[in-house]
Amino acid sequence: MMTLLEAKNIDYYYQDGDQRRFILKKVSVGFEKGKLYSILGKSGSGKTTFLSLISALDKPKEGQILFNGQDIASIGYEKFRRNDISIVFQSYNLIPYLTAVENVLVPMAITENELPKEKKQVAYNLLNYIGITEDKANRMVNQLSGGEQQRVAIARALSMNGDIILADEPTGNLDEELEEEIVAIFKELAHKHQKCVILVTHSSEVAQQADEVLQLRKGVLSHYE
Amino acid sequence: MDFKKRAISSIVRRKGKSVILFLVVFILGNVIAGAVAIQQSTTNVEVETKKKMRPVATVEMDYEAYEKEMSAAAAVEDQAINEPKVKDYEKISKLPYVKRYNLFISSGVGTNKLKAVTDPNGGMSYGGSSKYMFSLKGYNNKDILDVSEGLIKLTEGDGFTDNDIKKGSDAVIISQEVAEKNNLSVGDNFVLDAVVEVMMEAEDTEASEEEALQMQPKSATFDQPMRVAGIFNVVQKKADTQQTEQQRSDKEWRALEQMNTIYTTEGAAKAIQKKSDEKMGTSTDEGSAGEESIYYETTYVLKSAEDMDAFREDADALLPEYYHVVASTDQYEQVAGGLTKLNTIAKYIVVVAVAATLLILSLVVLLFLRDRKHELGIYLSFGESRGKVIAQIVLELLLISSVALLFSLITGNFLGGAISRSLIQSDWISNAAQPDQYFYMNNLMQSDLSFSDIQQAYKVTFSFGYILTYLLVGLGTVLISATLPLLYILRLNPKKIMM
Repeated sequence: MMTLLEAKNIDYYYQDGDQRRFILKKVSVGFEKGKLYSILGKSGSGKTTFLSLISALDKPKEGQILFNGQDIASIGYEKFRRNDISIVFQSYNLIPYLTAVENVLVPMAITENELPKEKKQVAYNLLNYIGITEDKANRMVNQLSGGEQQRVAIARALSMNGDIILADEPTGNLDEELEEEIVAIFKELAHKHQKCVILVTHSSEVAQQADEVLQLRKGVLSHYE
Repeated sequence: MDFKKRAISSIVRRKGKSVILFLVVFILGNVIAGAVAIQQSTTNVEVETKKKMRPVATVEMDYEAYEKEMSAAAAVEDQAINEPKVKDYEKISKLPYVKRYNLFISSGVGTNKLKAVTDPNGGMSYGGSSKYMFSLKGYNNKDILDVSEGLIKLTEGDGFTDNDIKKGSDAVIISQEVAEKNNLSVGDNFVLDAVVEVMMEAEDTEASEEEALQMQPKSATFDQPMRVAGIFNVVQKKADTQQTEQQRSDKEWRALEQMNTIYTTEGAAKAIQKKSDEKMGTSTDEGSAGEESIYYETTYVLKSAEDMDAFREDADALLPEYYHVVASTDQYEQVAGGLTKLNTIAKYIVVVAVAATLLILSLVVLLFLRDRKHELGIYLSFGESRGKVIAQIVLELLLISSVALLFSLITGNFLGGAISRSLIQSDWISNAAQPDQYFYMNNLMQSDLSFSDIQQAYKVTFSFGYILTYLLVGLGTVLISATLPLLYILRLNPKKIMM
């Protein structure tokens, strides 16, 4: 299968006087459609930096990030974020004065991807698909539980219909039962809906449920063994 | 859920913050609106009052500027003053704002036999060596502005002919009252028995001050034959019941002065001046009237009172140093000094309130944006352009501010009206009129304007000018106050916010 997203010889460092303090060093890795990946690493290992680079929130100092073989710098970082990649954050980052369904509708208004005309219905369907009823979909997000809020965040990530979903510690704030449910959703998205799902986690239990497990150690990415 | 819907949801659902923003704009808006209302109303009353005044101007010496210059250069000897020449006056008359123009010789002439109208209350006393005193005006044009502008009405005779003006004939136009007192009719010849006060000899001037006061001035007389070419009536304005005693007295005095005005030709006026100079011993040239003793007066009637400022600017540039244009509308500044003060204060309040609004609103919005940093980061991480994020914030600010500004447009107007009305009634404003600084104006330039007229004309209304000015100032201020918060958004880094 063709590589969808590829990091090529990525360096990321902070300049400290004459010294370079490397966070990532010559990181190269490819991600394919229909697979669930996990990136495992302790705090300070560089996993958040790596996530920010492949999600186009930051630029590598050296190397390239390719999407379908094209450098995301030439696509445009903002455009890449708008159309091709979605992020699920550990703290959900939902917009507090909007309802669940309105939160899902936000990226749908931003993306340039072609979406069905009945956007609101699509949003309800997505929420329903990940276990949020219409009644809850119409509630303000702060009236939902943590697990429900994370589901809304996942539905929101799906709503713009990009190929890649990045999740930064998506189960970090959830209990074990909910953790399993959320991971199951990600698995289904990868396998059934042919998304490329990349989970960044420090939990080896969560990481090991992925199709491929990668490990970041002192800025170097390798396959987990 | 585009930025417009998000903006509306944010306003509706974050009620507390919307209300705070509304109150900030509403309160400051009231101050701005009140000041704008006062400023507009004082300007309107000035424009409207000046429109009603006859747009007349003349040229006079600027004593204030001269004295200022002299006191600044105390050690320097008195500077010679170049008086304007006839050609200077004519140049001014050709300015595009001028509708009609008169240049005439203006002087006073005392008589013993030719009777003038006297004050029935005995309040008027001319002093000097003659029993009566007349104003003499010598024209080089048969179109007398006092007639064409309705100050006097020719009731008998045709006035001057072109021939009279050309030859400088002895034709005169006198008032009905003077004609009756002296049994004169149109076509009659009479003698103007001019009384001239003779200047003291040099040795006399060395007399002490006390002695000088006790001395009777020496006088001489000469006769000037005259012919009545016309009789006029002074056009009296309707009596104003609200006039003060001072105003009534001034009006009566002006009417009396007008009745005792003799209109004649420039030639006749020069002849009288020449004889007068000879008697007084001030003639410098045997063959001609001492031109330096002839005092020319000019009157320019403008097409519109609105042209006055432009006319003044252009005319002043054509005049020699220490001479300037005095306009009929200058009386407004004299009478309505308090209102002008109020206008200036209102302008300052607008500036201070706008500055305060800019500062306070910028800080409030910035504070609210810091609170919404995560929300803005979410939009940016979804690939929303910074332009649309800024548009959302500006839209929210504009929607709330527009409502607050509309409310304050009404309340501020009432507030401004109430405050300014009570200020106008107060001594602080009404005493700011400057009756002591009253300066001479010929009758054509005089008006009966009083501070109570201005008080009555003062109205704070919802004029188009007020609404437009306030909304432009208000919305402009709100938009400028959004600049600082927008810089904050431009500097946002979604990675730092979200990760």
